[in-house]
Amino acid sequence: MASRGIKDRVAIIGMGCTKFGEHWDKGPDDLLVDAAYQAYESAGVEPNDVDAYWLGTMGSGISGLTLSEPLKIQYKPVTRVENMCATGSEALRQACYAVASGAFDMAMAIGVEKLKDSGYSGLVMNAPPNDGTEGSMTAPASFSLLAPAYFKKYGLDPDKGKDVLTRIAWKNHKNGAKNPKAQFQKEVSLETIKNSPKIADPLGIMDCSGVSDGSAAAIVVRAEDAHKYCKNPIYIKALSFIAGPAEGPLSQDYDFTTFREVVATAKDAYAQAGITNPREQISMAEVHDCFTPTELVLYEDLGFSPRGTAWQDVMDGFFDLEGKLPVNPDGGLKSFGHPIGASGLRMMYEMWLQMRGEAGARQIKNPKVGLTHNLGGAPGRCVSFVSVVGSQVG
Amino acid sequence: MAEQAQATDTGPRPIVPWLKLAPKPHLEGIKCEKCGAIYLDPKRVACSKCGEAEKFAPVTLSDKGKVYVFSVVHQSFPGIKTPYVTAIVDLPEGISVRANLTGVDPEQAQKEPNKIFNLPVELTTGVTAKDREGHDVIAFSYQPSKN
Repeated sequence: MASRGIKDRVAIIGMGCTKFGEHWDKGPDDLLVDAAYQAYESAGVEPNDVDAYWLGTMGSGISGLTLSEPLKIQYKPVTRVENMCATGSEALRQACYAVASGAFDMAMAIGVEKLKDSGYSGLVMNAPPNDGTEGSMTAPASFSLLAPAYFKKYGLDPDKGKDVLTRIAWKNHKNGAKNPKAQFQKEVSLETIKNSPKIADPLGIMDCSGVSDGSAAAIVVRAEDAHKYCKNPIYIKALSFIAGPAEGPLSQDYDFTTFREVVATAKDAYAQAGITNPREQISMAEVHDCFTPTELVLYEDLGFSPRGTAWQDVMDGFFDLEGKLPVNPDGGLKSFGHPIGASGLRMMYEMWLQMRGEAGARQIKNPKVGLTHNLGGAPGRCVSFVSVVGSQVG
Repeated sequence: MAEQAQATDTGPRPIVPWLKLAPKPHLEGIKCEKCGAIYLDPKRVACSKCGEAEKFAPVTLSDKGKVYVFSVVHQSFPGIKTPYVTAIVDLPEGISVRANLTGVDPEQAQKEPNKIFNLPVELTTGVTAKDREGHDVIAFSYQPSKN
């Protein structure tokens, strides 16, 4: 038994992504049509050329009908998938495996989420608590625990630690300001971020990702067919998805400075892709910055920084757009926004643009190998996804 | 018969099944007899550490513990008063419990977090609501230990 992966057997030949943000005038149908038709056009294919579809949405619809109705799909397989905030990545994974297996020649993965008309303005999944105990650990609160735990373990003064978190949000806004599809296209000063209204100490509102509507889509084929459609496809090197046993909330061995699920997915993905030194070999990454301390911990879980040193890399600008390993060049969840089912494919959309030299003002010089990381759940109890993609085979 | 008795009982009800009110309020977990891992939810069907599915026994948990980490929540669900302190409390049995801290000033906790890490705390309970049948609903939290 082994996780063998499908290195270089599948390529993305077209992608689409709506603007993320508050689309009060659009429903999931409109967003899906927008992203899907961008993807068809990008690949130069007709809707009927696509043999099968995987739709990712956490709560904006159930069953394949959510997609087949608005797209008027002509009697083809459509599967709706859900894997919390990593739903979009799960849709892509399924579509890639479907073409890799030979079952279909061309598949679309598409994700959508319509959060802004759902009656709340935060990533609240559970029923409101009435007990003042378990449920009062809100989503921001459960992720905020990473910060004091990390600061304490590595001897970081809380104020200095807050500066590290602030710089992560600052970077992501700086990148998002260069992205015409981002929810928040504005640079924000360090001072404004640091002093933003408190949500769950030490997190302020500016440490939290944007609640957003949007959709993103990818069309995949077997790698050998890619050049029939596309001069510069991107190749799937690794896809890893792991659900943990949820020991964290109960076990005292779990110290809230890591996501074990992420460590496991990174290990699996790097083995599939043949990556031995991620800090050196990866040109850019899109990671799941739902809250700023998440991004801090992910740097270490993904092997970009040795344990206890990611905060120094943050302050040194290592992950800036101009840095050695740019992370969230498109603005990330923080600035691009987080329409849950679409986010994983939005991350891949940035890989697509960057590797084809189409990222405009935020273009990274000649990126060869990219990584996307998508997470669902909370520290100690989550699902995690890591992909590695490249501009070349081999 | 048991169901009938319950329907006419107007006594207090614990908010979660692992909070027991008698003889005095305490938490009761279940312990995997194979590997020793402890869980709160009695409905659990298997051990996430070793996979054992059969051998679980109830275990009374200590009413004293220590704060591992915490957050001061300023924005919560509709109707929940903020700010409050929510925390992970480590119990001597080796299990972690999520609960709020009471008797701790949120502003002060934020200013001086090092006074809250490792703080010895004890279980306390109080009425949090009345359910539809008029029972008092009892919730638990932890407060700084008095002794």
